Formats: sequence, C-alpha cells, structure tokens
Amino acid sequence: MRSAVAFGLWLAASVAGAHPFDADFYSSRALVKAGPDGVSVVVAVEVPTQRILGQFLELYGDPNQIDESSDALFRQRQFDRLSRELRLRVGGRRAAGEWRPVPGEANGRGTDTFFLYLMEFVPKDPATLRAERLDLRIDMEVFPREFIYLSAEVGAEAPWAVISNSAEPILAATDDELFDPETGRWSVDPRLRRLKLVLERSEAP
Amino acid sequence: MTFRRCRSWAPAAVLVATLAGCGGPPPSLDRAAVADLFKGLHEPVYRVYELGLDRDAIHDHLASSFSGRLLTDQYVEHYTTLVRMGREQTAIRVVRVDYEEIEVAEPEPGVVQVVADWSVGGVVSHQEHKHLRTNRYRALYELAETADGWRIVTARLRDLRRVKTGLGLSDDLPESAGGMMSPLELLRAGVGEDLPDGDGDGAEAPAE
Repeated sequence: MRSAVAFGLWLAASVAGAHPFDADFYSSRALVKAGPDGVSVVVAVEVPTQRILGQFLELYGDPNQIDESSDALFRQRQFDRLSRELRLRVGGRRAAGEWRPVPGEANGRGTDTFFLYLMEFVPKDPATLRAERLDLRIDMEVFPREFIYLSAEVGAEAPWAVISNSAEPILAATDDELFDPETGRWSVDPRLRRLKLVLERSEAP
Repeated sequence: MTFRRCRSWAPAAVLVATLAGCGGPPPSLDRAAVADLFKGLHEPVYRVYELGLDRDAIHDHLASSFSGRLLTDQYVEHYTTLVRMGREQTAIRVVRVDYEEIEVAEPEPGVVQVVADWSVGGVVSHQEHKHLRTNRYRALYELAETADGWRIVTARLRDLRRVKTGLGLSDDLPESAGGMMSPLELLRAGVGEDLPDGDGDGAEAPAE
C-alpha cells in the first residue's frame, strides 16, 4: 500500500492532463443556482499559472526582495479587475450591487495549471434576485483580449424552473473533446460571454 | 466508533509538547485536542524532503511522528524514495500543507483514530525543470500513546488525487487554501525562473 504521507512518489510522477483544454488558455464559467432562498450568481475564472507569475514579476520584481503583503495586494488587484469586467443585468437593466470574491482561502490561489478566481454578485437589495420571474443577463467580459474557453452551469431547484438558457444550444453543439466530466461542457463561442437566462418560480415564495 | 469533525485548532506545538511529555493519559483529550495532536505529528513529516540522504537523520525525524511497524515502513519508503529522487536528479519542495477536515473518533485510553482530509502544494524540480503539484488526500490513522509520547501507529490511505484545476472546487470551496499556492510562494520556490520578460498580459486593466 502506498503510504499516506509518502508525498514524493506520487508528487514526482508525471500525470497526463485531464483538463479538456490546454493550460495556456483562460477560462470563464458562470454558475447560476436557483433555490428556495433565491438565485445566486457566481463566475469562476481561471488564469494560466505562468501568466499570473509573469504579471506578479512585472508588478513587484524580485520575489526575494518584497514582503508577504504583495500576495494580498496582488490578489485584491485581480479581484478588483474581475469585478470591473463582470456585469449582471436583471430585466434589461444593470442590477445594483457588486461583484465580490467568494470567501475562502483557496480563492485567488493556483495549481500547476491555473489560478482560480471566484466572484459572486451581491445585490444591493436581496429582493433583486428573488422576484417571481427573473430575466438575467451575465456579461463576462473578463480578459477581453485573450483566447478564452467559456462555459455555464445553471441549476434550478423547486420552486424554480429554467424557462430559457442561451448557453444550452451553444454548449450542446460543442465537440466532445471539450467535455470534462468534472466541469461539464466548454466552448470558444464568444456568444457565451453574454449568458441570457429566464428563471421562473412555479409558486409564490 | 463514532467520528466527529474538527475544523479549527489551537496552536498545535504547545499542545503536542504537553501531551508528548505526559506519563499517563492526558486528563482531557477531547476531539479538538486530538485534531491538534494529529496535525502536530503529521505535518512535520513533510520536512523529510529537506534532509538529504542522511539515514540517521531521516529515521530520527520520522520517529518523532511514527512508531512500531509503521515507523519501519515509513523509513523504508521515504529513504528509498529519496534515493530514487537523487538518482533521477529530482527534488521536492513542499510549499504548504493545508488540513481541511479532521474527523476524530471517541478517544479511548491511550489510543484514538482520526480520518484526515488534507492537501499538499509543492514544487518538483527535475533536472532543469520545475513542476507544481497540488494533491489532495484522505486517510485513516490510529494514534497511540507510547513510551516516547503520542505517535501515529497505523495509516490507511482512502483517497488520493491530483488537483489540476480549482474549477472542481467551485461548488465546495474548501475552508483552507486546499494546497493551492500564491504567486509569491511559487516564485520563492523557484517556479517561474525561466519566464521570459513580459509574460504577463498587462496587469493594469483599463478603468471604466
């Protein structure tokens, strides 16, 4: 039996990539969940690790000459940038509120392939995402100059139902090579940067 | 045997020193104390990769965490791994160890079982190349009080997987960093030394 703490054997092993796309590219995925407490809107963005390290070096220089606070400053800088590049529209109008990082130590950290950034929309008025019928549009204009893979996952529990989802036909038409069992289907179709959804409650709250 | 979860702990070193120095069972070995005890025994094991091929140093280091047959198994496995790594010009630098969850069974006198869920982020150097790795583990351990203090005496791995992308975490973001690393941790570990100048995409985003 392999030891539970013999990190080296496993760590040193070369493992083939299981991700559906190359680690040199960006990705963005909208995660919308409708449940008894309302609707939550999260966007997960992955940035190639080599890009993040390049940006960090450009900003701060020699990593041995700077203090630990640079990490927190850099992470906040990334979150601020994403916050500016995401939009939520409800009923055709920009929703009042802000995009904030999902709380968690892992948010804004990386593996050998990507750094993960999770942003959630926090409405100014919670009732914004609790109406009986929601016509949503999520604009993901993150890293507009980069080649990016896009995806969307929309889940609805009672009393909610998904009336329409603009991502469905786009993702259904993608090649099977862009399917990942862990994270679903992906596409390079730029129309996915603007996800349009209609959600409806089947009964009064 | 009933397990309960512990997600927070007090500074482990003081507690471990206290427990290890006691002759008899500690008066109040509750679940939180066991979680701290386990972490204090388990996390230092990863420093074995800093010891080179000094057999005595490796054995002494492991003996402060393991006992009995498991100590022998761990010594053989780590030593042979280190030898193989040396032959292949491979080195490992463990950057971070994050414990997400430690489930503790009802402690019995002198023995307790824990199920731990933890992640390790590290850098593998192979010849001229450096590779990052983040692995997540889940394992069952038994801790026993020995003449030298508390030690890990059995280990059974239940799950091991390499974390290649954080996207799988989207639905269940760990409370800990999950072995994922910051830019500074990576750069200080030597990753990115071969980055060409200007590999970023322009850190400044145009303001609206």
